[in-house]
Amino acid sequence: MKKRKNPLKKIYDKRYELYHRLSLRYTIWVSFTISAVVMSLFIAISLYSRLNNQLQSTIQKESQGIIEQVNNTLTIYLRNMMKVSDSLYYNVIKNSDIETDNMESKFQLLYDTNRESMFNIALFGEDGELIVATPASTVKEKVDVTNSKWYQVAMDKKENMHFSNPEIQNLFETTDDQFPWVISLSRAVQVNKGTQTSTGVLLIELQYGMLELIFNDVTLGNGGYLYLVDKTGEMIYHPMESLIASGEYQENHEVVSQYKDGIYEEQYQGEDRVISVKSVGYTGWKIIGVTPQKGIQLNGLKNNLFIGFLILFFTFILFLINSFISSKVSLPILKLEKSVELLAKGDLEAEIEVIGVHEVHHLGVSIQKMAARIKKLMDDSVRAEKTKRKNELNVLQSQINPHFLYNTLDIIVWMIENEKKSEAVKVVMALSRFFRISLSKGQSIISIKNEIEHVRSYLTIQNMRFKNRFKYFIEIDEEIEKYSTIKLVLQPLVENAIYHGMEFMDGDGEIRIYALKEEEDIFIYIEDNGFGMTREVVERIMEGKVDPKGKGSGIGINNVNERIKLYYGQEYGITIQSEPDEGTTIMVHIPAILYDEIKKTE
Amino acid sequence: MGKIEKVFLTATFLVMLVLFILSSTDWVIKEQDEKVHQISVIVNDSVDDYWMNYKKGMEKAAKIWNAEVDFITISYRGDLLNQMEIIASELDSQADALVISPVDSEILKRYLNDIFVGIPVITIGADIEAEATSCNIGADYYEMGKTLGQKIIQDHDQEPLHVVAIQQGDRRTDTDQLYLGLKEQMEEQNIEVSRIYSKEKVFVESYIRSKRNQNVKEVLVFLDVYSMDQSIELFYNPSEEIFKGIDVYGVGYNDKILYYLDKEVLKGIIAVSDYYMGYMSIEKAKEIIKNKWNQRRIILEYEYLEPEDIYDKDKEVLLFPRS
Repeated sequence: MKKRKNPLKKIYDKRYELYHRLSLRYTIWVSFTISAVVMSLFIAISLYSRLNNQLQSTIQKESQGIIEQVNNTLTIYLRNMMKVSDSLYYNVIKNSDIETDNMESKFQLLYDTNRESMFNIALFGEDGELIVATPASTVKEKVDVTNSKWYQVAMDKKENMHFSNPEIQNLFETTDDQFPWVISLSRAVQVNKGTQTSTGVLLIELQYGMLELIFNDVTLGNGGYLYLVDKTGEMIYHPMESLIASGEYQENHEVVSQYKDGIYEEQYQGEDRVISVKSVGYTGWKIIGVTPQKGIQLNGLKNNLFIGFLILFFTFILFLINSFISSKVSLPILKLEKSVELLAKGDLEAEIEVIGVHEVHHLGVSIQKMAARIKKLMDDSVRAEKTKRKNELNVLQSQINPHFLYNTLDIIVWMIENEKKSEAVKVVMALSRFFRISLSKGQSIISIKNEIEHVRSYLTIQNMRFKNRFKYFIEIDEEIEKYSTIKLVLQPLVENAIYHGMEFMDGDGEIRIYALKEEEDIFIYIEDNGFGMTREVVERIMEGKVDPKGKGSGIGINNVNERIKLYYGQEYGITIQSEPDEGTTIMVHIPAILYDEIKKTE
Repeated sequence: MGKIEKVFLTATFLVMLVLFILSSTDWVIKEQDEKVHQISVIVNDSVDDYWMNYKKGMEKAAKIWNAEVDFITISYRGDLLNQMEIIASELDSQADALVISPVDSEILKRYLNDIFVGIPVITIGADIEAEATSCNIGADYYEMGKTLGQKIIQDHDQEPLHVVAIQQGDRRTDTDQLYLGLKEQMEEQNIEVSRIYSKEKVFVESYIRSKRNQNVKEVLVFLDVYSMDQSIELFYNPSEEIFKGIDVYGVGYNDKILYYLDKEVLKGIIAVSDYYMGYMSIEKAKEIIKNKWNQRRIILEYEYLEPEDIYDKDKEVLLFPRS
């Protein structure tokens, strides 16, 4: 059953794939811009919110302060009026007999002292009859005092003083056409008439203008105002009262008048408002403060748009800065990327620009070095390959060197002609062995035993050729013979010894071949006591510049050295020690690898 | 910079530009108008005694709508020439709007049609049907006249009546319409309606002395507050018999008229709220200045008031505006 891929993993894979397609510059730019915008938004919103809250709090505190102040002023005013009423009652009415005493002058005195606040002062009897009044004197004919609300409430609750709602003065006759607004302050009083006491009502008609003065022009914040209602919600003062009566303006006074003292938020006619309610002492009235939210907020369409503009402006600036920075950072990497691409395609000559920040600069330098190293390695490899090919070709050629063959065959013919059959057989056998090992069925690696056999064969032949002008000694341990070597190593060296050392020796020449094993290395020595070579000659031989007069196998010492190094490594090879007139020692250094092991790997 | 970046940059810049224009200029979103406009109110009177409620309404509107109201009276009531001079003077002094209670609707119409006005002109009460007049604030005076007529008929159930409509001598559209409405209503009941022009009470007094028909109930209807104010005292505790038993009605009010209504000298009055009319005149002047109002007429509601209505809670605030 096919396993269904986890949908989350699918999304993750898609996003990962998308991420891989994005450039470094784009990734840096987008990441920086998004994070900058998010931070800006966060800061802007936090600041805005905090400022807004502080502003609201400050304005609300201020509004509360104003309401308190107005309340205090109003309370003081009402208390003062109540004191006047008290003064009238306790100092005048209570101490007077309405039958005998004239209270009018005392009423007049108090009125004169407070005329700016009062319109009329009057005392009514139990049946609503006018006892004394000032400055008015006559009650309107059609008015029944006992039906007046101020009279009834005073009689109902005798212990208190009562403030009425504002109304047009309709109690007393007036000689002019004035219709003042008044607030009736009424209270029940004990009226003395001779020996009897009855309950009357003391009325003070307060001028509404005084209350208006307290509230007029009081504003709360931007567009806020105060108004005054009684406990039923009926308006006592409102800055827009006449417009409310006309229907031009609406107010939520009936609802709000039911709130307890405190601060409330409401929405009225689509506008958010803060409502403050404060009760006024003695009256049951409430001062209502209305503050539109828009007046205490940083809000406002234009403000919000401006904040949006600011955020976008900073985003724009950050965008430009990010674009510049991401370009600066990514451009060197981009150039490096292009160079590496060319390198990967094989153009090792491609220019690698080393610019940019420290890490990128360092990377560029490293890539430069890497490219140079690759180029050198490739060149070395090509060169080594060429050398190997050349050497292999030489070896191949030497395997069938005609000069050596002709010369050896000549010797054999001479031997046969001169009845030296056994020597002839010896030479033929040696030659056979020589060529057999030379060919070694095409193998490059043979055992040291075979290599010694090969050189022995060669020495046998050459000794006969050179009429035993030299002796040779081969001392190789049987153990060492088990190890391997590349073929045709010793014969060219011996050849060199013969042609550079033995050729002009008159029977005294010696060639000694021996080997040593030291740990993982094998050292094969070819010593001769010939004429030796100067250092220069040694160097030229190692460089492959000395031609052994065309008589040898054709493989130079340098060839042997190069083949050893090529096959085994640079640490191996040939070392020549030679002193003119003293002889030469050639040391062959190869690793100790058993021939059987080589055979196993084939 | 890649293509996407260029597009993003350009788009951001454009949006920024739009936001800047919206938030920091008045080209699209206009800020609340803080400019204080000068509005000249030219009334058909030499004193402002009859205009106290209008003035209260105007002052309230001026405060709310950021206006400065210059209340201008003419040398004497009915001085048309002076009113025209004042209009010309206010136009020269670069008032932002004019509110006019016209002396003579017809002549002022020709006058305004002849001159270059260039600012909003609002009329209150009577209209000036000139091209320059932006708006008239008043009532449906014709219907008012009819309503008053109906009330008169109701109050005098089947009683034979003679109705005398009294007005100032000026040609005004409001009084003309009142008269027509009243007349039509009366004529439906076959009640005779006379019309007299009276600038002072002597004209009314003279008419009554000479023309009163003792066989029918004489009903006087003052079609404007001026003529009513001038003559109403004639009917308060008259000593002469000729002035007794006359039922008086009127259009408009002031404190004096309400005083006599309270005394039941007047049987009833019909009126619009002066306060509200004053308020509307300034409010609409501002709106017309800011090109936010283009209706030619504003028709206010009217009320018929009888003596007991003076102290009615709802009507008190309209008749005696406090704020």
